[in-house]
Amino acid sequence: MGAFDYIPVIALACYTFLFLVFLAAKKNRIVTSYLFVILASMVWTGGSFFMRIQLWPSYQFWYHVSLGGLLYLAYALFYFVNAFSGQRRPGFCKFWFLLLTAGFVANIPTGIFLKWPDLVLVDGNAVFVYEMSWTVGVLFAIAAGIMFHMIYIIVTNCKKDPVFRKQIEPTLAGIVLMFSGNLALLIPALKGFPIDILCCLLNAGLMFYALTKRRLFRLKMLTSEAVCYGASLIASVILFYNLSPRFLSFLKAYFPRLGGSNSTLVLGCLFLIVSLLFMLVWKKFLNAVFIKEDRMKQECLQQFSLTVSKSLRIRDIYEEITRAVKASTEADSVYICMQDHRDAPFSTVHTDKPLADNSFFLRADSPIVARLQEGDDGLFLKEFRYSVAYKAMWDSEKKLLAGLGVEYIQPLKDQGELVGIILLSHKNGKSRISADDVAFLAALASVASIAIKNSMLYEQAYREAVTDELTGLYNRKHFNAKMEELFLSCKKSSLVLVLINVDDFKLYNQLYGMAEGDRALQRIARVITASIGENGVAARYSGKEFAILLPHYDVLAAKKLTESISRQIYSLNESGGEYSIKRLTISAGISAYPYGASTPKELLDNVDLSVYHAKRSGKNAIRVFDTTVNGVKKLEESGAPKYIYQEYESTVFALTAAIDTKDHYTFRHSNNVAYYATSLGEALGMNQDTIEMLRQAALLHDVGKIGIPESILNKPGRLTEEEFGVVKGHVEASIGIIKHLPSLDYVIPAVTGHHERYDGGGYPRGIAGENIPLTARILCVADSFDAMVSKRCYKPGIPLKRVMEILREEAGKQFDPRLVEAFLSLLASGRVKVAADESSLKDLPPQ
Amino acid sequence: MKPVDEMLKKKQYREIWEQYCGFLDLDLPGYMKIQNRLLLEQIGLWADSQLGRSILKGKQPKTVEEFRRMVPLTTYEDYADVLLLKRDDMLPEKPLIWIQTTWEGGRHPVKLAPYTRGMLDTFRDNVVACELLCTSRAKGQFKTRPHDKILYGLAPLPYATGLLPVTLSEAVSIDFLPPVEEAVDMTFSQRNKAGFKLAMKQGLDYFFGLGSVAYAVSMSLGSMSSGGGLKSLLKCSPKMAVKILRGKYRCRREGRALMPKDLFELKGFMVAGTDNRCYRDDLEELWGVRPMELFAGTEPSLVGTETWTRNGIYFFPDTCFYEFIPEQDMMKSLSDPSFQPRTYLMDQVVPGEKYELAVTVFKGGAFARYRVGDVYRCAGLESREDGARIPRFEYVDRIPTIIDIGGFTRISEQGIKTVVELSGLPVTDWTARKEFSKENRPYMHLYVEMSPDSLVSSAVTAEILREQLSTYFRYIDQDYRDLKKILGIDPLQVTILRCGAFAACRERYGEPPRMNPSPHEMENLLSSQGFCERRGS
Repeated sequence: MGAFDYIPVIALACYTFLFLVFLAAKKNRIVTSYLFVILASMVWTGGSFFMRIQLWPSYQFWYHVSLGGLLYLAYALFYFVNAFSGQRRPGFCKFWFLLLTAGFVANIPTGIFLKWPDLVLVDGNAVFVYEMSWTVGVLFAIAAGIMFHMIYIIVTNCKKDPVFRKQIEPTLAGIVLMFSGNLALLIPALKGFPIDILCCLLNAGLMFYALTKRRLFRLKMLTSEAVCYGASLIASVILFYNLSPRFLSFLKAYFPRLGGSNSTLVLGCLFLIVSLLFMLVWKKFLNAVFIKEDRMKQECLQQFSLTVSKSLRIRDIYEEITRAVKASTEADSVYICMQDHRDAPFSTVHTDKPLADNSFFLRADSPIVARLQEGDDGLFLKEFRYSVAYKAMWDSEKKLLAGLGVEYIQPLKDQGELVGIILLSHKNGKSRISADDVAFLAALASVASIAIKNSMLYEQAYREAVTDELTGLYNRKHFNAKMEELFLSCKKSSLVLVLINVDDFKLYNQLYGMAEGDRALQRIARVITASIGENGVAARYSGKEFAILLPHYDVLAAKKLTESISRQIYSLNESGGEYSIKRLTISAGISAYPYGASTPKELLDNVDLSVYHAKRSGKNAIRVFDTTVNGVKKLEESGAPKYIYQEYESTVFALTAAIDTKDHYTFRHSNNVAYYATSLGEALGMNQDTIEMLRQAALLHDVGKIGIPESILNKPGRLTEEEFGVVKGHVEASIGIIKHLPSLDYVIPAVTGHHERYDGGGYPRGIAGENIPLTARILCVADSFDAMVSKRCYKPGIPLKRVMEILREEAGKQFDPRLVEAFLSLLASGRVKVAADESSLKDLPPQ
Repeated sequence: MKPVDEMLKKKQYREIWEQYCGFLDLDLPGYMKIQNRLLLEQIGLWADSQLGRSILKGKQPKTVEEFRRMVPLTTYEDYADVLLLKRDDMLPEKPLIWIQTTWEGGRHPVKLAPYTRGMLDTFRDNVVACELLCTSRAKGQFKTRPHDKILYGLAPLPYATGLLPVTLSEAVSIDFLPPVEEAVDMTFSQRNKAGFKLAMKQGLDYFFGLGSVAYAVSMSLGSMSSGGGLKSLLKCSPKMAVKILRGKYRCRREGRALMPKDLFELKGFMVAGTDNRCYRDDLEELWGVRPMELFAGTEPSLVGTETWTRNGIYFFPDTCFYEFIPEQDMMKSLSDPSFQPRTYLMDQVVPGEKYELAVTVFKGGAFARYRVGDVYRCAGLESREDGARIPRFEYVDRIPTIIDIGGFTRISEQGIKTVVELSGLPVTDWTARKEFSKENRPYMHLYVEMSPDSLVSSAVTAEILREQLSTYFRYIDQDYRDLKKILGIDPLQVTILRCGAFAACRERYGEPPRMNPSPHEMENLLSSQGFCERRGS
């Protein structure tokens, strides 16, 4: 061995040591890539050293090994930097690998790029003489290409992440040092000195430094420390085996007393001391580099608890759960499924994969859920398969869990109730969850359950505080706050406020009931939300008013948007079912900053004024508050009906005349019902429009009887079941006739509901109470009253006294008790008279 | 490695029992929970399919109660147009395989039933349960091991019995004698011979067949093994040779013929099909192991099994949703097809009562509320011996309109009518009844009345009639032919009744049933002969 030969030996020993350490670590992409770096360094250093000592089989062989090590070291470093920076570019990695391999393989038989050196004896010493040509540049150009690409990645990441820079600095310095060492070979003064290997040794030192001081990454030890100590002992033996002859001769030469028979003893003591020191250093190194599994989990749990305690955002907590689970277990994917309320399915609310399918859920009656409900422990799916309960699993559920590769299911419980589950999956489906993991997950789940509950409560409270319960839009208070906020942020731009007021909504509620009114408001809210998307903020400003804030909008764009919303709202009640519902129209006002207002208050005042003008000018209009734009946009194209019902008088008259021709009794009856209904309406304080509508509805309520054969209508005896069925069908028949007259569609709620019972036992819809439109309830009383007091061919008229008794008995059953009371008082006071016979028609009020 | 093999290797015996036989530990609510849940899955699949919609006629059941209310009880006729044309697109789920059986009295010679992957998985798991149970002597104990040998005396695919080898092989390594792929091309007798030869070489752990067939095979094994001398001994394994020599010695000493039990020590013995109770004792005598019955059909697949006590069957909770038609309603609906019988669920059956089974096949199966045509008697709601808390049943027979002989052939009224017509015999009236011989073997007894005019013009004896009718039964019914060919039995007896007996019976007691009259009704018919005589006099 020459004087400098110890440099590669020590470098080799260092790399071997690092290699052993990393072999014992739990593998992941970063660790594997780093292992590759160490291996390439070992191959380069070892190949170079063995070439120098001309080890068997030949120095040419070791030359190729060394060259391969050098070239692949460049690639390994690139691969490591890629992994460390979290880049996933398999295409680039493959490209460089194939290019490098092609170059290296081509060089082996021919030496086309860099031929193996000639062995020349100079003064009895073997000297390697390289013959270099320009082609060597090709090989090194490839390596340089890889290195530049790597440096580019490092620089890019360093800019983004200062921690990354701090961690990667020593590695980067090592890379620069190694390649400088190779260039230094060209300096004549260093001829014969293995400067490249020395640089490689220094690189190894920098690697140690990066691992211990800069915490390049934390490793999880797979094997026990004892095994590592054993390995260190073997390494010491090998070292001493190589060093002992030289050491002995050193002793003999300088310490003759110790060099004799005592030399073995001295060597033994020295070996012991060195080994102990070596072990001490190793242990320190291991403690610095490795982190014990349980300690790591503990740290992870602490970190998790700390993080979730700082946040009340549910999404943050979900993210933290998945992060902690993935960091501490080997799960490929983590899915969190939560239950909205009891008996609801457990729907996926979060996964660690942004593109994963989150649409799946587990039904509340799934046997897995039942099993998790029973105990606090998690569940290995494989073990669950052994149980009888698994037999109740649906095939779709089995396929779902198999498809996701679910291995372990952790329950999330709140006061013993299962509220959510965490699914841990592996791609290959093999079990990798250890007993430690199970304990960790249980601890994590208990912390997570509380955190989720708190954040859910908070979010629910927040949601309730800022949103309108019916429509899900913001409420007025939050809207005002939002307006202030947006006003400030849009100071240099523009902010448009649109106020939408639904026309005649009170009437709509009266016609179809509050429930239908609420549904209409929900549909309008959906139209508004869908129309503005993420471009604005919408709120339910008052009962039938919606407000929209549109930041950065101009007046024209806002007006177009409002027109679109108005059109959509008008189309909401397009006839599709068995009867049509009154169309909805809106009166909207628009005000904009800075064009027409300079403060939020002004915006509001102006937009109020605009709506007022829109209402005054006949409703169903969009009014812009702006002196320059100043346009009132009437939606003439929509053909919306006016609300003055008298103009359809002629149509109503034509239809009643048709009834008269077919069945005079029905005509008379309709007139009577109209008389009673309008009287009741007036008594209830209804406005003239509604009373007029009520009169028309009463006149038309039996128009469907046109289709019933006279033989049935005028049958003297009792009707058969079949015949009664035909008579019952007159409600649908009435609707069938009226629905072809869109101008009269407003009478449909009253007509269709006049056979509904207050207790819900009527037909055709079986609705009850206030859900039956008021007009229909009035018609019901009027219709029944007239039917009872009238004399028919199959029955005599019932005396008024008895009829009043029946009305009283049926109050709350068939009839609205409030209306019965009002009607009875009308009868009692003589404000309404019985109009059962022909003569009483003369007493009818003029229509 | 196959799942059961792997678990056996890891000695996870408790887990194996729990996974496959754990249903025996269910209580009734737990059992019904599984039934109801799987039915909900099936309702979703079935009601969405074109087949389901064609039967539901616009109704949309969502719950178990709605399903039972809206779906009428069905027969194969309701499915024939879809299934016989193999209309995959109309089914709840795409089938993996179509299984075939004869359609007794149907408008087509065969019935087809689709099997989905889910159904096959359930079938496989339940077959494993049967395999474990047939070797067990107590709860949790079984002797199943990888590479057990099984002699399999049932028809191959596309018949339902052919599913057993293929599904069982998915779960556990089991060696069929002869191997399934070779057995497919063999005749029944070749298969038995080859299987027996292999059994003599390798030993035998299980035997599985129809009760009647198992008996016939067992008898032939005795004769097969008794022949051959030293040469045949040399072909056997040393262990087997010792067994043969020891068996022969024992037989000579006891003065009886060689039986299978002298040669083989079975771990388990399984039988399927009808009339097993006629053969059970003999089979136990022959093999030294009491056969365990399991119950399967083409349409419902594998529905139930006995346990180590061999005392009544338990229905698997995950194969079908079971409904039970009470006997009274069954009889009424057989005479009046428009009558919709009531059905009871597993938690409503009464011990001692007879029920016709109606099933809804789970896991994307085609059949819903399907009348299988089998009658069961509820033997008890729990069993101390089995430690079971779910009802157990005894197989009674096919429904009265079908005469099933040894699980081999099913003869319907229409079938007999065709045979009588084809034979051209001057039979004016008849009634058919399944009866049992002194040896407790089933046969069909045909009571006929001949045209009085023919008595003078042609030779009419019961023997001639039996010969002629048998010929035509063999002609129209492949299974009937096989009954003679495979089992060597002719299951027909003919009794000629006095002319005018049926008319007299009709007059006195009303119309006698054509198929399976009750003992009382039969007595009426027979006694009417006397009345006829008195009337004549």
